[in-house]
Amino acid sequence: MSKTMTLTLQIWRQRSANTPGSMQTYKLEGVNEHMSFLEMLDVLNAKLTKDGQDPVAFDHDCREGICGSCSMVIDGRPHGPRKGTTACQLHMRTYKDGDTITIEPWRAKAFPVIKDLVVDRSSFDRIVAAGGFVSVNTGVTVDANATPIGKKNADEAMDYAACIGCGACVAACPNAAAMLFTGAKVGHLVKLPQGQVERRGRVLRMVEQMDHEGFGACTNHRECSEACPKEISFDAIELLNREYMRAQVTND
Amino acid sequence: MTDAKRPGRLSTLARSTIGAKIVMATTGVILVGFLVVHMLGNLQIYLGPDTMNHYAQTLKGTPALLWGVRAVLLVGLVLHVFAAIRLKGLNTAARPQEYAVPRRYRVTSSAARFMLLSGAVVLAFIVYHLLHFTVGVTNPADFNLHEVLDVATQTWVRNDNEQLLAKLPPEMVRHDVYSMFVRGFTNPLIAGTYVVAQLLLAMHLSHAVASMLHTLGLSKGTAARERNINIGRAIAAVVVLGNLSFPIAVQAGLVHL
Repeated sequence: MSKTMTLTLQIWRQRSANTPGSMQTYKLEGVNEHMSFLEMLDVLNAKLTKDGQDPVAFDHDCREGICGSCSMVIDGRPHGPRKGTTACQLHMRTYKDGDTITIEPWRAKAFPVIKDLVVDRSSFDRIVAAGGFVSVNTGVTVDANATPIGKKNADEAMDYAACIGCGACVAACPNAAAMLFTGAKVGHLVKLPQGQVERRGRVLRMVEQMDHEGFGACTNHRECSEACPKEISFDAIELLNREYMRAQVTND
Repeated sequence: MTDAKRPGRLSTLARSTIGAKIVMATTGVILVGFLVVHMLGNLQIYLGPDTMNHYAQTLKGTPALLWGVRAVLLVGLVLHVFAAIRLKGLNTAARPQEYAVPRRYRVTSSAARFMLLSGAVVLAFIVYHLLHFTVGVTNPADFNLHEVLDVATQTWVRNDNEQLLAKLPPEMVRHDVYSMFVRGFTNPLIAGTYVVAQLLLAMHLSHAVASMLHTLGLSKGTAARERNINIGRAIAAVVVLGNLSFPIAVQAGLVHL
């Protein structure tokens, strides 16, 4: 039989973007150790709804760690204590009976709170829209393997492409910088032949958009890559710096 | 894409956060380079007054080099400080509302988190150090010390007769840096100030060197990054241990008048 536990939850409640929020304390009994963290919040919300209270708003979608929707700082760490794990893949067996857990939204100027734990991450979309794509004429699907790509480049591109855009890097960064995200988005295209044509303009425009959104600047704390649920390497930022400098001195 | 749609070059660099980081890193390289040379040069204090004073005389005897280096350092330092203030402003503005519960950091260091603080202390120290040993306004009695060339024996001897010094040709008078150095560090309060400033410099450098190598794109991969962190700590240790040895050696009586 699975164990159940009683938890004290301290959760950031904020009615809307323009109203000040505060931490509220909830006691939750009967939490099953096999629940995911989000299922635990579902149980809390069912209880709150039953009691006639407003349920806690939080982003969620796939609940299998690949969509990048869940976004909460749990006990001072984005996505909670486990490395390479999204909040939805965090299970309550990580905790023990009687624990107090604090839950907050991402905090960044470029991620304004919409409600409770939900933040607006469209700033990330605008960074991608500024250059995180390749322009191709559509038509007949290209044959597989028509463009050979070396193993090393393919692997690196795939590693950067693993970014799910959740924003944990920004949340973890002491400076609220988005350079790991931007670096990953620049990196997965720059490693591929298809990404070469727009290489220079891409990095310049994406960095310009990143700054325009009000993200901070990296001071090499390396907290971002440690917090990343997809374990994007800190190399992404070094790559971003290098690509940016390259773009300043080349014409292609 | 047509050329017209391409973003401009230097204009984007000057405005961008990465541009400011590049300024931090390149000026950092210059300043760290100077720190190493400065420490190595001052090690000549252990070779006695003649070597030390001859070294100072040589530097002052090549004003083009001396003032060229000083100009580069001054511009480098000013840009470094301005870029730091600008980045700190951007980084503070990037998170208008702090976390209600302090975050639990995983890998960052105190050195990395308090760069601005250690930098500010080091900057204040640089100003004091220049006033103390370069301009000579804080302790003029310890600063205005000279040696005069004894033509008969071709040796340099201390002489503080101002009327004589004014009459002699410049090549026969040199600043007695050795005595200034020893007298400067004889005061325990001044020696202590230097020690504290050097400890903060060590803290600053231990993050700075790895950070600037990373910004300049020279630490690709975990192994290179680890290596750069070690290089940074080694440079910080060598520079600061060398510098710390000076006030300590004077206080311990190993270097004396």
